[in-house]
Amino acid sequence: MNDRLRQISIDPITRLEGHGRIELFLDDEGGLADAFFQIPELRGFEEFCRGRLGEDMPQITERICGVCPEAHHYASVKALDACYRAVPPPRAQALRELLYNAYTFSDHLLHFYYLGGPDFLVGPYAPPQERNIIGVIGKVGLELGKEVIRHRGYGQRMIEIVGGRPIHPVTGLPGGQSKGITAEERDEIRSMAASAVEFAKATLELFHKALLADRTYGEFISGSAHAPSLYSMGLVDDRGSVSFYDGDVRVVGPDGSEYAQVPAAAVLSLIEERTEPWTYVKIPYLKDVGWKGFVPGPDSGIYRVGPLARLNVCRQIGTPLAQIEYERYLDFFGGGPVHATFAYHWARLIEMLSAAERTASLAAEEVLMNGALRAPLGEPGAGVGVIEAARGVLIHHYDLDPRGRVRSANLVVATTHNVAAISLSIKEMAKTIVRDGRVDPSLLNLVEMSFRNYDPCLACATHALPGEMPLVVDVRGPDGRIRERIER
Amino acid sequence: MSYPPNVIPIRVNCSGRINAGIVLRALERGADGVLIGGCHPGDCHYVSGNYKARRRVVLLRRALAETGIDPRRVRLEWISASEGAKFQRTIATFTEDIRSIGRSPLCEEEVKVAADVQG
Amino acid sequence: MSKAKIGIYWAAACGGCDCSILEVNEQILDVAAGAEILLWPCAVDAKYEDLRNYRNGEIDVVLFNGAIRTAENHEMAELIRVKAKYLIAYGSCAHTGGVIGLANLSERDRIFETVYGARERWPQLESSQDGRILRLPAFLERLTPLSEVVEVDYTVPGCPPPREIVRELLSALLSGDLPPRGAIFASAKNLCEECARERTHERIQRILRPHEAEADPERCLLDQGFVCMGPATRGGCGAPCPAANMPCTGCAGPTADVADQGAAMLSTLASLVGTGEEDESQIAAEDAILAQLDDIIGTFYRFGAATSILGRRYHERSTATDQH
Repeated sequence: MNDRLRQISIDPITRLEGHGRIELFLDDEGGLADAFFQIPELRGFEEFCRGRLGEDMPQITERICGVCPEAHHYASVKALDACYRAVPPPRAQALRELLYNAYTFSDHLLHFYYLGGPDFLVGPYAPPQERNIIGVIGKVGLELGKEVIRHRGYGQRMIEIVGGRPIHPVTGLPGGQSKGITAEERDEIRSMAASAVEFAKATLELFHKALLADRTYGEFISGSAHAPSLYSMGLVDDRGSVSFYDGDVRVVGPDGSEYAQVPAAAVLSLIEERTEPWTYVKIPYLKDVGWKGFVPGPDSGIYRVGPLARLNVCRQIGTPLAQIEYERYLDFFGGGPVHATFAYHWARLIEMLSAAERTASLAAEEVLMNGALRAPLGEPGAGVGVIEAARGVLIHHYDLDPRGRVRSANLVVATTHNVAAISLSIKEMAKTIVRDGRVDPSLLNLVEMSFRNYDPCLACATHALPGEMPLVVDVRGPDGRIRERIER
Repeated sequence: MSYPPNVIPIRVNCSGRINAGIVLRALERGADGVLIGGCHPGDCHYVSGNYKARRRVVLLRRALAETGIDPRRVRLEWISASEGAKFQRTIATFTEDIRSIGRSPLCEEEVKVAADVQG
Repeated sequence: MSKAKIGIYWAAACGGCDCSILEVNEQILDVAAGAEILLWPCAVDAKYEDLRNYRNGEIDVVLFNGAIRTAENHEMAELIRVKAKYLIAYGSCAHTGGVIGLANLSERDRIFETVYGARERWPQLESSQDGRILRLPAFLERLTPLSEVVEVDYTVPGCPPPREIVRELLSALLSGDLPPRGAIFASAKNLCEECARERTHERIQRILRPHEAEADPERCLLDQGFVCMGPATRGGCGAPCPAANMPCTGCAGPTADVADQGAAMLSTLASLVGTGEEDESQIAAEDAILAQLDDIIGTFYRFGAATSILGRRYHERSTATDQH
């Protein structure tokens, strides 16, 4: 065949949430000239959320994503807490955190076994028909396969108990939760959470056996070929531990030094976004560093969120078993920050264990069963809610009118932050597989594996900062009084 | 009673039989305006059907307004069966009011399947 | 017996429907054993090229979730209709347009303005990067449910369809024992029939929003003044939202004999609003109660905007009552 390909399309990309397409363009020598990560979907939540009732937003915005609805539900609820100047009572807070950690466990499990993991559990060059959860079960055996299914079921069941439904929960309200849980349900959760911890540990052992020992995986996480030096952003609590539900936003530079640490509500002051004509998604970057193109390095405003980034910005994980795993991880890389993109899979499993540990300890707390579920609300205004979705920092910012209706809604959604980094990653990988105008089709999967590291949620990604919305944030202490005011 | 040519009469046993869906269907099928004639307060043969109709029209008008349709296109008037003259006057006035508002935007609604350039 | 060939596809969707299929837990192993999954972008590596290469009707069943929002969604709906023997509208978006149908209340340009800002920043259907042509599918002026684009054989309502319904559906698919064409996998009755709450048929003297009061967990939510879509919504889900102390928001769409779910519920609510006495003297008080509703479209058409004439933006020539 003398004709050289000029363009290769991967359409659609698969084993992720959402619609995406990758276009590879070849140069005259038959090598890679450019690669584009296109997101061809848009639904327009920021527009049709206008005019809606504030308290309906948790149930409306969670339909941005059915894989991480809990993240939107609670980012929304937290934004409403701020809009109504309400501090949820400890019981409601505990219930929310319990649900939230169960969600994190479940979502990370889904990614490892169903979405990104099959590439290594079955093999990166395995036939396409086998690279999926069915193939994984075939490889690891029915017994472990049933454990996978059972524990995903546990995660979903815990969400269902606290949230009312396993997908698209309903119990979040400004100032609290609509209902509690019964003693039987609490016992059920405790038993499921304990099992989840053991399962997460077993998954990490499987990771060490199957992935770290795999030659391809080993190649990908060593060396600098797939390790772009980028900024990392994540939430940390007041001890610098990874925090899924709440915390400050911390950003560290490619060398690990602190770039910024701000109250979560002020995160919008750090970033700006740009549009490109060839994708429906917008591309955020660190405002003060600036946009230098799809390039890595300390002078490029590109940053990452999600497990790899969270483990770069934290000082410790915050739960004992996961901490041991975190130290094992840092040991392997000779200390942080870790930039090897394929290490996202490892970081994700460490977080999965931590989320299981948190679920187990929260389930044991008495406050879960006692006390008020709802706090009094003030007059509605503007507010920001920030949370760590499994995939990264999620921001909901609402401006409510005096009747509690949405005047405007800004949403910056986890995967959006990673879009620039994903583009970088797929291009780097594509360069290595295009030779002489040809690509072995089985190698195209490697390009997809590059984005799967990030566990992208593309339905989420096409919702981001619409532009200049004046922002004044009052940071309140636990007593409700203003500690600090931040303006953008 | 003779109806002007622009009026399609629909008789029901009670204005309480009219729900929002019926009014919307009339608008969808080309009515520029929908006038509902109910019995006077206190005169409803079925006791309170007219009050229910009134409340429904209140909510429906607000729903129409939320979409940009002029809520005046739907009106409820208390007219008893024996008030022929009042009925004629009401129809005439309503027709004039609708004429001044213009043809219903539902009639001009086009579904554009966009293959054109965006932006 | 050869394996059933199935496909699962998403149009303008959130992924929740795809996840809902996993909610059957171990039953998924029966699916793996009894079926060949030829298309499922969420979980399986088949590409569009593979789909185009199948013979017409070669795929026995496709579960199609998501609404028709872009030209690509439209094209895929038509392609899948041809390649599949049976096409199932799965979930609220495919069935009635879903929550994202609320976008029909705004024009496309308005949506783009809100999302992207000035026109220069808008994504393009075709753009050139150093001579390389990149394309995006058009964002259609109006979002529609699947049945407005192609003929649908079965419908599974819900956002997402509930676990027990999915179990029933998967069993039917695997055994080949499908109900007559046109069947809807849900209850024929409204949600009130299966809601455990006690009804006392109160008049609504005050409309409550969920954050304004703590709902009594035993009594009907509508009786308490919360706007619950139950009377106008298909059952079959077990009423988990009222069980969670939150009103039904209508995700399963209307029962069979109702054309416009929002209009039906709006009418019902209007009937119930009252001070206890039906009299001319109560009109002002009734209007004050009705005025407590602040977002009629968002409340009554949360999942069904795309199927109603009230789910659009209209422009009157006269500007006197421009409400937006």
